[in-house]
Amino acid sequence: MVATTKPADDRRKPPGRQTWKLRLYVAGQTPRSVAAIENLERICHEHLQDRYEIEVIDLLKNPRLARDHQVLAVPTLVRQLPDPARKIIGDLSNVERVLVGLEIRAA
Amino acid sequence: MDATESRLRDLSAENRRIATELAETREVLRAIRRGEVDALVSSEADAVYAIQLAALAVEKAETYLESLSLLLRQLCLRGGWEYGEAWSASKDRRSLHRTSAWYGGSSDAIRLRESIVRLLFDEAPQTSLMKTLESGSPQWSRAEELPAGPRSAAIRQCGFQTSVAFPVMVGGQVVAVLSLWKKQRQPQDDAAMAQIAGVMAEVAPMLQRKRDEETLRSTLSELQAAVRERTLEVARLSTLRRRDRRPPADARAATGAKQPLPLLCLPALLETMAEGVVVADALGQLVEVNTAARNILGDDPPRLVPLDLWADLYGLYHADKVTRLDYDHIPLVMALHGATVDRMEIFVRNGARPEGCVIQMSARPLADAGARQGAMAVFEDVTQRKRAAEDRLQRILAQRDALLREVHHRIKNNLAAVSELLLHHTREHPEFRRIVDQVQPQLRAIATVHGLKAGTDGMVHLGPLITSVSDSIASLYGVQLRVSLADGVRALRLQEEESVPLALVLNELLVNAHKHGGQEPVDVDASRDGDGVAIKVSNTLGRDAITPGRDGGAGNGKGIPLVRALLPHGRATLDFENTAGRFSAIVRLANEVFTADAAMIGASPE
Repeated sequence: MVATTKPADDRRKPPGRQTWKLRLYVAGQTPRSVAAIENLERICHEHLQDRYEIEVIDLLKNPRLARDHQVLAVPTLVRQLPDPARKIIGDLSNVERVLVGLEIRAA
Repeated sequence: MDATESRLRDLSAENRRIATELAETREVLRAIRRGEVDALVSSEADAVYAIQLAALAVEKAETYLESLSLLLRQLCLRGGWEYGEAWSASKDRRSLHRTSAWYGGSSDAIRLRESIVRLLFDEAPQTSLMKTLESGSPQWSRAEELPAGPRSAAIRQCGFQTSVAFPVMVGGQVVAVLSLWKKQRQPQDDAAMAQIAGVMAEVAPMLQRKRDEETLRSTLSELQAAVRERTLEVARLSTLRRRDRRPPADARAATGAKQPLPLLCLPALLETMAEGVVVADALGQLVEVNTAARNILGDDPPRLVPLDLWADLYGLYHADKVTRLDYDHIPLVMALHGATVDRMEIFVRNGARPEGCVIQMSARPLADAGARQGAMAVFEDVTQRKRAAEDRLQRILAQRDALLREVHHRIKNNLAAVSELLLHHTREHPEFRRIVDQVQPQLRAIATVHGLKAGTDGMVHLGPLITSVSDSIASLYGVQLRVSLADGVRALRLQEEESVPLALVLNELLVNAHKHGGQEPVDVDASRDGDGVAIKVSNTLGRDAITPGRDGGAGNGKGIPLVRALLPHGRATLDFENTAGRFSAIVRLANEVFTADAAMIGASPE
């Protein structure tokens, strides 16, 4: 649904310079799904500037991806890069929890 | 040893995996408690996963049929079914009819659907569907078991061999049956059936809710349409009834009676009139209401409203816009009782005219050879006209006030000029100096009143009058004055004719206090005195003090008699006090000296 592409192998870059690769699992256009997408875009814009890439996966369209990616609930945000992977479950309405969960801000 | 290490590594990895899953599960539970999660998705339990997705699909749909289609899609995708269609149960649960909800997951399925849609006949559901409707349990069937017919032929032609009919149960009753087809029955199909049963148990109430919502919406639309239809019918019948009461033109022609031309013109005349016209027969039944009358009264939709409902339905009020107009005061009703009403103002406010309007209504009884036949009322909307008249009146009043203020302003200036001229002449004729000295403060007192009247509201208030006259005396003679005004008297407004005399009274008292008082400042106090006001001018006694108390209460000068002459007759008194070396003149003014609203203000507790 939403994708921004960033070139280069980001795994080798120092954490501060890496592009963050985030994948958000939602199910249709429910209010929580829409809220999660909006919240994620706002948080990334404010805290990661242009160093992020978001991929939104609609499980209504691709149900098998949930099984492949071990998604237990929707909405779920998965940080794919930088390593290690992190998961945040919910509509991302609590900005502090998201920043700490993604390790953008220390707990 | 290697095997043991390998086993340990595996166990550690397994522990880490379990710990991670546990942490994730806890996080999911916390997210559920916070209400931030839409649905659970379990990769371990397919059944739960299927239910969640199906529920989401149904919830997402806007209509009942769309929810059936989405549900069919989910079931077909999960169970490997290529074609699915939904049949809806009748209210008595005895028959099924095919809905437009379907899913096709292959080109053969789409071809089958096209064939079925083209069928005009043989739309009876297959036996397994009816068995499902009756039993409420799923039924398997094979294509070769289908009775011969175009539908069976199409199914076989597209290669479909196996089907299952699955009930949608709500409250123990089958509300719909889903028919799913595939080409070959698979060993895992029986397990899939259990899964579908779980899905349906969760989703069926949601489907039914969608259906109930649609039924309600449909019922609402039907009721609204029926109300519209009834309203139009009532209006049509009302028109017909009025027409029926008139002798038809054909009947008149048949009897040879010629309708006079003016009467023939009457209906057209009424409809072209800008004024509203209402005619009632002797029984008070309305027999004529022209379009203008409906428009003015805000009759939307047009109805033939009985007279006794007019006040409530049209929102009729007296001209005060507050008092509801009684039935007996409606001009047409008064005319029915024989009265004549001319240009009675009525305020109308109702749903169609929420801002309200003013109408002028005249009414006359109608009589034929002395016999009372009914009454007629003619009325017009005069809201704009009244508003224009009020605006014009306001403009005239504003102009008059401005003019009056200008006149007072000029009088004040002229009096100041006269005062200066008198002073000028005393230089050449010193013999007049004493008279001019007496007149000059009086002129200034009168000028003060005109100066106050030239103010914004054109009224003279007691507080500013006392202050202005006192200031004038202070500046003229260089005398020290202490003015004290109680709050309750400051804003009192004097009657128009009392302001100049009172200014002269104050002037005389202050001049006297200055002339005959000692060196101490003169005190001027104004306070409430019962309903009225008391103004007290007091001073210490000087060496040459001549006080009214010493010469019988009237003094020997001309000042005090002048004060008494100027005081409002019967509404004011003048008293003197001579105590502890201070002499006081007290003017008591009755409540009537002030304007009514000011008196009311003055009477309020302070």
